[in-house]
Amino acid sequence: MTKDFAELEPEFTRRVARIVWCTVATIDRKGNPRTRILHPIWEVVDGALVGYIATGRHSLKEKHIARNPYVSLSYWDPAQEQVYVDAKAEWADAPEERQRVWDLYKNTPPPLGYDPGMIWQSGPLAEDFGVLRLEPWRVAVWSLDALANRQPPQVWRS
Amino acid sequence: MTQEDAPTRLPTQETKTFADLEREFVKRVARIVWCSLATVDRQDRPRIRIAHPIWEVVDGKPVGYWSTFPRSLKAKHIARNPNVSLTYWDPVHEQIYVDAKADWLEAPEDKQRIWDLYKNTPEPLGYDLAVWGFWKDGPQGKNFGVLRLQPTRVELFSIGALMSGQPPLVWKPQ
Repeated sequence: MTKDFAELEPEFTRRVARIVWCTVATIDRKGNPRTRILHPIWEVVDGALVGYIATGRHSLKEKHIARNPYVSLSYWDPAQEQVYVDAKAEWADAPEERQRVWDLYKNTPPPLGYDPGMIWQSGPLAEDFGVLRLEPWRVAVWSLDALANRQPPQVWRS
Repeated sequence: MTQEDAPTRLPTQETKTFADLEREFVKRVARIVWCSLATVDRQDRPRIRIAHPIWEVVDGKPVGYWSTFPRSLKAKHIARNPNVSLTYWDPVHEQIYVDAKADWLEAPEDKQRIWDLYKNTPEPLGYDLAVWGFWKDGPQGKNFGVLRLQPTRVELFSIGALMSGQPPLVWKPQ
């Protein structure tokens, strides 16, 4: 376990850029888990990992997060490399932040980056476009090979 | 893009019987094999890990079995809240979402049966669990547990189907 995210960062970044899509779990209004596939994007700010998810507003998950802000993410693909992120989510509502994350998606090379204008035709400040900001409290990088060799996952904690 | 993010949210289509989804469900599980499984931790936060369950259809309903460790963090989560949520995904974007209730199979004959179900199912979905050093003592060893998953909702989602105007298919037990 480490407190220094820099130790995981190269492997985290490599895997996320390759796998792109992840499963995101929220807690629903009855206190039960629900999962769906989403496409976040990440930055390292002052040595700390921060995630953003471009998403529609007024979804079921917005209701979940209003009640319980915790989310859990897993990246997996058939190459069996895994990344886990446990985080607290909040809406980044400031217009300049929505514009910045919009541009971050647009300026990141595909497949991780894409033009959000393909989905939200009214642009980053329109009412139907939202940005969820994820502040991780735990990140783990693991693989099936590591499990077979009984190696523990590489874990960062806030 | 996900269904939740579709500019015009498409309705799902509910099916009456699981048989309407079964072929596609079985095909996707056999190909994707691994899924993300979320539980609720002791502080009411969601937690995910990758799991490899195996499925049967019993009395027209899907039932999953997940070979796992009986003394793990997730066992503590499930003791407090038995509800779990699973997502199967792979790069072709055919997804299965399952919400289920989990409980432990304790009877020795059930543990043997699920051990054999894994062993007798064609790879890559099936495999010999004894390849893992921690399960070398077999189905009655102290490290081996079986969580049974009884779905309360199953959804088949596919970007390809969505683009040709077919809504995701949803099954719930009557």
